[in-house]
Amino acid sequence: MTATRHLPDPARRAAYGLGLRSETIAALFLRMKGYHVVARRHQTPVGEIDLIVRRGRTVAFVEVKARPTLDMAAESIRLYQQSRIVRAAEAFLSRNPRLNGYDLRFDAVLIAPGRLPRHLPAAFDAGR
Amino acid sequence: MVAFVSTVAFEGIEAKPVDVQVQISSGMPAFLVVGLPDKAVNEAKERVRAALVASGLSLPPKRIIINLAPADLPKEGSHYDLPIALGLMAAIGALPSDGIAGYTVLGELSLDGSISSVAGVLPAAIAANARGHGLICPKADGPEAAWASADLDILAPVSLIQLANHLKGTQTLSRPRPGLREPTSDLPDLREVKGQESAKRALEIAAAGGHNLIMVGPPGSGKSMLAARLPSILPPLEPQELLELAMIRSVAGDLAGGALSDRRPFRAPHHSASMAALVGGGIRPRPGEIALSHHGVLFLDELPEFQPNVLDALRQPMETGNVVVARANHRITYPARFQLIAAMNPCKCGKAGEPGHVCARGVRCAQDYQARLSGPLLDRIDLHLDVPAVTAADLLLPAPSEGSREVAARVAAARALQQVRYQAMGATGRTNSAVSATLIEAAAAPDSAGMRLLRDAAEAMKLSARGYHRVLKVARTIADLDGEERVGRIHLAEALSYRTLVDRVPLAA
Repeated sequence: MTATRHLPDPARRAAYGLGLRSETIAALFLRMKGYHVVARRHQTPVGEIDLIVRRGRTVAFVEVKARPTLDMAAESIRLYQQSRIVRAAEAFLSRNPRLNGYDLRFDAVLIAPGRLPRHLPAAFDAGR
Repeated sequence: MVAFVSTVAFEGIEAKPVDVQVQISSGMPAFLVVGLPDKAVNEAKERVRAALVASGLSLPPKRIIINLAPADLPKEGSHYDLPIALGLMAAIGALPSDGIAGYTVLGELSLDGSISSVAGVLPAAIAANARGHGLICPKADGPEAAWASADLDILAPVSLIQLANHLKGTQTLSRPRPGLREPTSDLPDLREVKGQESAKRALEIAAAGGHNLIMVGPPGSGKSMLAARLPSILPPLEPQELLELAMIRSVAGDLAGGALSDRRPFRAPHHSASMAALVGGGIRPRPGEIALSHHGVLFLDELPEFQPNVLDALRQPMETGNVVVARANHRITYPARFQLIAAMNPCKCGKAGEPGHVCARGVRCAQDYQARLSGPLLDRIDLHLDVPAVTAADLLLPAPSEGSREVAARVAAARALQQVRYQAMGATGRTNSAVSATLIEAAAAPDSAGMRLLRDAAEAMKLSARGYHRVLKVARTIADLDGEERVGRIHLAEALSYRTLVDRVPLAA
């Protein structure tokens, strides 16, 4: 992940910048909906989680997707990514035991130019 | 919190109680089904999720575990959808949890929340009744379930919403009524068969005693026509027999609309039938043709064209009246007390034995063709009948005055005699063909002239022990048709005349 930052490839640098901006937009959007941002770009040995937010007794692990249209964004959440996020969430919880006993949820925020972000609560689960 | 719903798993025609336990807890959100579910049960997750959404509910993003107990019994089929959905609704508080206690539940869910029909509702209803439970089943299967017991509490809703409303008390579901198929009179009548008087007589004996019958004759002599008319002279099913048959048909998913008929089954599988199709079995075990013809007729046309191993698989069920399908992972008993009616040509070209016919391939043709049938199988067939070709003169005759109705009356009278006799003797069988050897020896003890004939014939024809008893059984049936108390010489003589093929086969070999 860290290697990405030093890549000279302009296309990948642009994608990185877009991802960063999208996460900022998503975080603002979720705060407007009453969520408290616990962590951003949380890195674990098994993967990265874009946003971890909390509201009441619920902790949500959020994957942010930016694509030219919202539909394309919705389609881009792949199965292997889901399992990566689930494993990363398990790693995060094992380091933050105070969050044990909260209701857990896996959300997605879809972002497309010129449109309001779309929040999908419980976009996927940890089932196989 | 944990919610419990009762349902069943099928093992043969038996419904074993299964407990669906639904637990919703916080933790990694997931929806898991454990307890040896097969593919159809695992896919219930998606149907249940969609049906709940269509009913205006949604699954909480929590850890949902469905346990199907006992955990070591394999669960198969789509009927777990409804119990899982009801368990979830009780666990999230959408249903009063005491509302579904005391019910055995089965049904498949559609994505729109409606409940579609499943196989095996009748055995499930009987199991529920035995446990003192009520039954919740799909609307389409309600008439079938209502047969189990008059005071079984049955809910047969169309959709999840209707069921939820009933359990909350805002809508009432009425109890379904048992369905009975309208008696149809479209059976072919024996009157349509011209000539073939001896064959009709043999058919009547077969019907009266439940005997197995094989007809040998050239093509076009009316063998299949005669066999097709056997159901019209058989008596209707007794209530107990009807229920036994309905259980098998229910498990096979063969009871359309839950309407039972008191007509005896008549199954005529094609001669390409496999062993599993005839005997039962498969990965998901299903009853075979012989189980589906329980208390009825299994008609095998072109008998030598069946695979020899398939035919020989019939030998044991023909004796015991049930079939045990034993595999590595299951062992299932299906009742199969069927009456075998077989038809065959005497040889490949079909005309052997016809007066004036000379086959280019000689005698061997007929010998090879008939040798495809094993001796032990033929030994189990009581009546062997030669059906000669019909002459044009027979067809010109007016239709016979006697039709199926008259023959059926005689058959019913003979069967009534048998039933009274064997009930008095405390036997389980109802017909001469179904009782044990010791019973038939007592019931069909011939008079002295008959005894002498039987002794001579047994030596001359080299009757096997089974063959001897089979002759006695047929003689008893013929005496019953005559209304005679005792088996006489003429009854035995006629019975012996129907055992021609067993002698012929050793000659051919």
